[in-house]
Amino acid sequence: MRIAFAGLIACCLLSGAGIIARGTEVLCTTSIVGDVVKQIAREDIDVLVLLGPDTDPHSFQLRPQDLVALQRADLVFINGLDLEAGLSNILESIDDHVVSLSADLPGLLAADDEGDHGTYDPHVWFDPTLVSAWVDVIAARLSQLVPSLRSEFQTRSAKYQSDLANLDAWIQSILEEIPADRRLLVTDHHVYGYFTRRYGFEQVGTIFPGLSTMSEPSARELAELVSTIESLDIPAIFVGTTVNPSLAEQIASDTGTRIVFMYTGALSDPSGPAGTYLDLMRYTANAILEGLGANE
Amino acid sequence: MTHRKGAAISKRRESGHAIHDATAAAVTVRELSAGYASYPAIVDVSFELRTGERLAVVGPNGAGKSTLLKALAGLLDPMKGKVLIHGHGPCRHICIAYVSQRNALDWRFPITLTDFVMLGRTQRIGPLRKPRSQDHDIVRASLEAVELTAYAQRQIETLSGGQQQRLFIARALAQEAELILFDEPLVGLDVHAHRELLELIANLYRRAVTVIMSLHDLSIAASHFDKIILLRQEMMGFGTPKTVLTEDVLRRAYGSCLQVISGEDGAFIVQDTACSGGEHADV
Amino acid sequence: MFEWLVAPLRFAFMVRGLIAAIAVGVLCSAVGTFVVLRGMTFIGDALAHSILPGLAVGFISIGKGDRRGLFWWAIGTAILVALGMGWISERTRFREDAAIGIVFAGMFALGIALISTVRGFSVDLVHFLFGNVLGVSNHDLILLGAFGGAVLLLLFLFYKELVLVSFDITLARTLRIRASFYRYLLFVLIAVTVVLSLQTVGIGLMLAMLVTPASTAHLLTKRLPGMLMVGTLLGGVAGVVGLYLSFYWGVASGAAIVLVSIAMFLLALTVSNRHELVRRFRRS
Repeated sequence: MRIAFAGLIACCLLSGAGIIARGTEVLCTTSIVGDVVKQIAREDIDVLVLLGPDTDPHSFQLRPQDLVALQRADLVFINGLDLEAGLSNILESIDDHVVSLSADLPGLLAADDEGDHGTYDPHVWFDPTLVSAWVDVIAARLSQLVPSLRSEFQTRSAKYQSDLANLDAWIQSILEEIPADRRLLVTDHHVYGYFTRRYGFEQVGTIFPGLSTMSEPSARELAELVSTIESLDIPAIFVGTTVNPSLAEQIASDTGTRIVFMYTGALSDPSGPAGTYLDLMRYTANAILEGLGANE
Repeated sequence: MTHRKGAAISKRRESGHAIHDATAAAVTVRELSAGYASYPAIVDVSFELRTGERLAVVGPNGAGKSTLLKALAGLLDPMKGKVLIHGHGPCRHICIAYVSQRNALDWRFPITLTDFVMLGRTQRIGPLRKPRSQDHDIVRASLEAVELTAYAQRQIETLSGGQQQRLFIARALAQEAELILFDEPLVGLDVHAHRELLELIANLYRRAVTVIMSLHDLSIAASHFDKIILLRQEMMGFGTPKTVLTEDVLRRAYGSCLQVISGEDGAFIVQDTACSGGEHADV
Repeated sequence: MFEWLVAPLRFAFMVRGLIAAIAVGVLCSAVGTFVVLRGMTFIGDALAHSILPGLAVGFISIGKGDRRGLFWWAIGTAILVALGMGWISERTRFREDAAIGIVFAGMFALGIALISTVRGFSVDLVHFLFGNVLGVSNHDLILLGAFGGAVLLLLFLFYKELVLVSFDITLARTLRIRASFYRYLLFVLIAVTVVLSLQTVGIGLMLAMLVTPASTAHLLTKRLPGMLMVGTLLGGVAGVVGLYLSFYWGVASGAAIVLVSIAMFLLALTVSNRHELVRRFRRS
């Protein structure tokens, strides 16, 4: 009996010590958000990411340890615009710690149709200039959290923003090769709204209607897509890795197009081709170039 | 003969059926004990029946009548003792028809009388084969024998209780059964239907079919059956109605559930059928 | 004049979809007749969930490889599960509905547990693994033909034994027919049908096709052979009409087929109860 009591006290002391010894912790929902935040925070702050590589943010399910992490974090950075719709209840309960990176950004696109998202298209990360705006928000909030590191955060943001500007210019230049009449994207979902606006492309068809992974196309919609692909002579269909590709595969084989795999909602694992945000965008641009440029 | 205790349903696969031993009695039961789980519902039952005889199985509720019938049908393995039908264990035969209580079947199943009776020929037709014309002839004849030809193409759900019992007999005939076991067939039938059924059963004698039936009504047992077996877990009596239905034997079997009314022609024994005489529920 | 009939057939995915919908409609209705008559209508859902552990293990071992291998994991698991359900309802005190429920609950939980320990795929397994009638490939059609054909053949060959075992198992036993074998066979046929339909046309369509056409046929015919024929006809027709609706009206394909078969059911319900309905109407 006494041993149990002593054990209990020891546990309390240890966990108390654990709490005191814990550093500043920041949680990010998607791996993309996580990477950008890490560029600013580096080793000075613990950055945890909820949705690992290859995880579809639309269908994520929380485990108990995730809930604990959410509660415990000093700040929670989310993409916002209802991308994390599945987590909305929990996020509401810790509202004052939540930072929506995309909310209130200028130049947001309206959502193409309702789906499960709100009024705006949430896939803002496909436009590096908007991610640049994220960086300002991140730096400001991290500085509030750890004021002593304000100047470090500012230096890093400036550096990263210049990297983003270079990325933007680079993407523009390599995609110039693609002539105007080929700047057409057929994808599985409507995720490239911001990308197409920034770089002068057009999303002419999707396999799944709407922005969410949950909807199902009708035969009419698929027939229209096939007709579009054939009449516009589309060479490739760009498909995310987290969704059942069987529909895309069949359409591709019926129309003689290639399937090009893309990273859309999450980074690849660190050893893969899209381990950081910058890599993701470079991979995207290269894939589009190869897909659309291939059929001459 | 296996002695697996409490084996609910015999799983032995027997293909083709044993040739009847002409020298053996139709039914031979020797020191039979049978039941479910770990204790027997019937103990030490022994009797013999000749071909074509009609046996009534009587006894208070819970006496083990159903258990006896199932053991005879080969649906229950004996715990002790032996059952021989025409010289072989019941599982070696496909000529035994067991007519369970009517409510055990789903009468709304979409099947006509003809198809229902044809089911009795499943084993004779054999796997992978379809019914041939001789099978159809036998089915027709069976329905005729029970006077249900007019309903041959009707659904079984349109039948009355009495007609259902006759249908079972038709199926048993189509099965070319030589032993038919009836589990409480008179329950829920009116007097007219009783008579029809019992007449039909009497005629089975001409086809060399042995009949064993469990019932509650002692007077019917006395008047329509060649032999009676009185059960109350143990065998209280076996033999002709006269020898078994004596006051003495009946008191032992039914205990307090009997009233003896003395009249001019002799004693009337009135049975209280609602009274439960046994310890184990009749399953 | 028949342009509207022929127009969808210009699209290869429509042709494959129609073949799959008809095949699944016929197969599920035939097997579904037994499911409905035995009162096992929730076995489709139960089996679909019960194969989750097999799919999880298969997914882990296949990884990013050929997804088609998952079919074999699914069907293997389903057969084992079906035999398990058969065994429990044969050897223990539990009846079929309880046996099905127990296995369903256990296997599904095991599947969830397996998935949650391998954090690597938080992919929505359901969407990833279950099919879509518009996304049927030629390989899927071959599987449907081969396995579906085998199921229908076995149903035909052992028809009278399967009916007997479903309707009056006591008679089966007194006739010394191997009742256990046929019971297990039926469970296995149902399992194969469920997995085949699941992987080709998805769960919603499979569940509906297993139960609805057979139930509709039950309202319209009185004999079992008739029920089988009418059921399979209705299943096939629902598939075709549904897909055409999806093509011309833009309704989601799976849902369209299901709604057509439900509509057929309601129509049959009205027709079979018309005397009753007229009588009530007159009274009021």
